Amino acid sequence: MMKTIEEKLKEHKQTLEMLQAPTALENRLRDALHNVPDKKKNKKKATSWIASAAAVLILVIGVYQYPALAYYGEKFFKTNWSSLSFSEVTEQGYGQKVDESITLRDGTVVTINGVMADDNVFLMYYTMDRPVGIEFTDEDFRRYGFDKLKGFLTDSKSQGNGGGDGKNKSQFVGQARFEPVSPFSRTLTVTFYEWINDERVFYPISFKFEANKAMKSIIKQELDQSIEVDYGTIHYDSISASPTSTLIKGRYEFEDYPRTYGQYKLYVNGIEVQYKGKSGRMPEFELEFDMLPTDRINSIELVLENFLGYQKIEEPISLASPSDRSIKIGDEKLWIRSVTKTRTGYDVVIARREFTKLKWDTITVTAGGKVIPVSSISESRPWDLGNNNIMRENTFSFNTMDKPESLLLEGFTYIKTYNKRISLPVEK
Amino acid sequence: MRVSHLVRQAQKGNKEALLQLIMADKDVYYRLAYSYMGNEHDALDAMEDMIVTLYEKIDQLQKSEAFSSWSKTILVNRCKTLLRKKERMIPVGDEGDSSFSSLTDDNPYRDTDSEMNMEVLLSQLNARQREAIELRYVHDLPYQTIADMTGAPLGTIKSRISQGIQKLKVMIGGEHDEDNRGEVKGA
Repeated sequence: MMKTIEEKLKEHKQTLEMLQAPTALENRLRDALHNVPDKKKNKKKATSWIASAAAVLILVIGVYQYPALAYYGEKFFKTNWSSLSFSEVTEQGYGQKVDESITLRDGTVVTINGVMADDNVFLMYYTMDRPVGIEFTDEDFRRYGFDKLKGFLTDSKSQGNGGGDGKNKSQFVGQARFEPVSPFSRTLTVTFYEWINDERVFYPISFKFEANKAMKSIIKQELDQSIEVDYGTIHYDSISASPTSTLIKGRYEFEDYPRTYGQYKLYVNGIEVQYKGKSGRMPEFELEFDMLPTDRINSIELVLENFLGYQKIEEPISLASPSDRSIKIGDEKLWIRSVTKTRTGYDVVIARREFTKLKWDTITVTAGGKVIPVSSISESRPWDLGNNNIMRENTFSFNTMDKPESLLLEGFTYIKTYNKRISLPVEK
Repeated sequence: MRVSHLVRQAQKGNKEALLQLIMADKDVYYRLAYSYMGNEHDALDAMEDMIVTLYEKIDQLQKSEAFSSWSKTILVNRCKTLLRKKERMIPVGDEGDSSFSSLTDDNPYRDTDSEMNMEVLLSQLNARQREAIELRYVHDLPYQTIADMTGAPLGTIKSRISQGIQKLKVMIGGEHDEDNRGEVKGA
């Protein structure tokens, strides 16, 4: 009896459901997270304005001890601009008031309260008010969004938005981020949308943009610096330090593109600037750091702490005396833990650090004068050294009746410590 | 409640909370990654990329209830990026890269004929139809989430799915009678 497509799809699904995540998953994910720098929490605006004001106050007392600055002023550099509400921005004399509204089909009013523009981002502050007595549900927010922001020479993508309850559950106070806009735009149009029964309904909102109210950059200039890594050259092309963030843009000149970007630190006058993240589409990248702590800049240094490295191996590795003692190869270590006879040949257990990845499709051993390719590779499993070091190991099987003498491994990728430092020449 | 609590913790930078959110549904995420990547090694790579991206971007998540669809969208995007780097088509459509090939090979319980048949049938669809159908019927994702994942409007997703299903029905039911599910022609 022929089955219907629906039944067949259901069977197909049941087959997939037999698949379970490997036990290694948890450690892999934990390690991946461990390798990401901790972030200083950007305050979510859902908390009250009082709390964020308190946080600003703590910053004032706790962190920077710079003398008054001629250009932006001391207070300026102690403000976390991208986490303020619009009223907090205007209190400090920045930002541009907008006050343009549209009304959605259900009577909800969306108001653009104001905007703040700089060279790195365009921030839009908005509120949404439900008709009196109707509260927002969590589902609502999956229906809403901002499309692009457009204007003369401006076509800026949304970079996400966030927010929380306003004065009550019928009000939402949000902040939307967009790519920066052109200073030549006079009128900007942002399009708000909502999904209604599978259809996206668009509501354009236009407003005058006063480019003279945009915040000036602390530094904005081209760079011509580069760092050599195993994979090729990393070029750093520009730095743009605005009141909301500091962006360093660059590109990779590699033959192929590794998955990890590496870790950076940025120092201004020797003081570390908080790293915020990286983005970009290969081969280009963009490093984001916090706002600079000052505009009295004596030095800016960018340090590439680590990056994916490649270690080529020229010499065969002896399998004569497997042990739990490491073998040093370049800057990195490997362990040949055991060589064991099996029914079908020999198993070799090789351990490595978590992010060291052997080029394993080409692994071979020499045995009895012949070169034997690997026939199977086990899933990796943890090997706990007991001193807070957990390695990963795999069993490599070889179909040979002769005892393998040496291992031929082309190379491996690993997280290589570079600590390469470049000074960014800054004109004032 | 638990999810929103963990999301809040994760938004405060608590890595362990984020890990818990993923581990609570680990098989679901893994299957999704696996169906794009086709092997454990690449599926785990994609999930590593996903969790790093989630950690970096979780501030942008405005409603904790949306965590599940948001994180799956990021996972699918990571999978596609990895696949692009491997210069494969998305979602895998060629025989050699058949997305469930290693799964079906390893599975002694499956009904060989019907499962193989489904693979063959799905491979007849265009990549976008196949992706939408798999996300809907195999991964049980809502239409809206599929639209977010693939960057296509909701209506387009619905029509891809219904056209794909229609095509599958024609294939198993004979070319001339779309509604005839009862007999095989020319088999």
